[in-house]
Amino acid sequence: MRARRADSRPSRVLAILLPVVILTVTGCSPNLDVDSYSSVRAVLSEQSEAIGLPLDDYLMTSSDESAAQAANFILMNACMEESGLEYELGKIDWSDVGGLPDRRYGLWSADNAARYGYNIPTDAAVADAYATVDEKSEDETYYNSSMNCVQSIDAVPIIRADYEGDANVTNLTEVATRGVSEAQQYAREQSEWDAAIDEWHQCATDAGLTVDASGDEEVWTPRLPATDEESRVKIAVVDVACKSQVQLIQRLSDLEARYQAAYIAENEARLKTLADAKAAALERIRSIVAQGGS
Amino acid sequence: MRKRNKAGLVGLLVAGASILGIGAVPANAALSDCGSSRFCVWTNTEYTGTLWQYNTTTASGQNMGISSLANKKSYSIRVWDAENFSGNSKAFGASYATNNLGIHNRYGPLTWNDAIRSFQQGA
Repeated sequence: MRARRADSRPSRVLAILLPVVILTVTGCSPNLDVDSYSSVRAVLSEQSEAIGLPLDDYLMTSSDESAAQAANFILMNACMEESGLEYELGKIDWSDVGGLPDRRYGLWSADNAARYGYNIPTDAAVADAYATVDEKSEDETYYNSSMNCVQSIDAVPIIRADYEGDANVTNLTEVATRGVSEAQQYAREQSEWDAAIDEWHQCATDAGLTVDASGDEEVWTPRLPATDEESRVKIAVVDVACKSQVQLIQRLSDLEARYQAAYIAENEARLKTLADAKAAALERIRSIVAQGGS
Repeated sequence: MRKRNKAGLVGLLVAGASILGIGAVPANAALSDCGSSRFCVWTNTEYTGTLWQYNTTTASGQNMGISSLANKKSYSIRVWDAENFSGNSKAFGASYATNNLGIHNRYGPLTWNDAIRSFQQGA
């Protein structure tokens, strides 16, 4: 086949379009100087399985989300009481209940693995309150009252990139949501991403586990027996030990952290509004909890 | 992203969940088919395809190819794109419904269409 001339029109069109196509496919912002932020690291808390990233300065953490939900449940209970009803989720003490564990790269707390396997640790009082609300909601009067209250309370906004519930908040968080999304995509495009995951797979395989990683979906859990909880816990312990040995969570989240830091530098002015909104929301949570919904 | 056969079920989110009203719902399925106080998922957009209704709200399993959902609970529900509450996650607030998960970004160019593998109450 005859070689196409270097200055042919298709090539020139391709040269113009390629950056656009790559930008669309990768979803990353152009001109971000990520290399200048190579020393930025994610802040990990293994006990609570929390991953701290730079954009958390502008968005609620999982723990903040839990506190906001608790405040909103207090408001729900106050609203329901006007109809002579109770909303149990707003009557329990949430002060010791943290946020959901961040398992974007799978289970990684050795303590949680040994105690709960792959299940999410759940406070007994919280679980009971959810069950009671579900049970009461089978009654039409109770359910309709709860839906009216959902619409009528002045809820604390959940200012997170991964929360959908209020269009105004979604618009507000858009600039940070884009940064979070791009950072996740950027991380997956780095050779370090594949290297870290390959080392985890190898460790798990050497320990007798099977990670079904041949498909096109990301897999963060070794193959598990369907019902044998004891075996699932044993696998969880080995799985987490391997993730710790190869520093999987730190290495992957550091990639996201670097991109987020570079993204913040380019978008600081727009993010300032979000930081102010987050601060106001956290203050409102404190006020609601202090007043007990009154 | 791999195309999935939406005509048949690929799997089922089951662990810890009470599932009500399972069954293939014809093309006239609608948001109103989702009962009060249920978390509902459909295999097609516009609340069509097979409808699964969940009473309690903890489940994990294979990818069912979920394309629309309705959270008729008075609290939020968080979903994950991998089994056992792992991978990327997203919460949907109380009394929230979306007829197309394809408009909800997961990361980069990926969306939540055909991605949900597990879910649980959000806090």
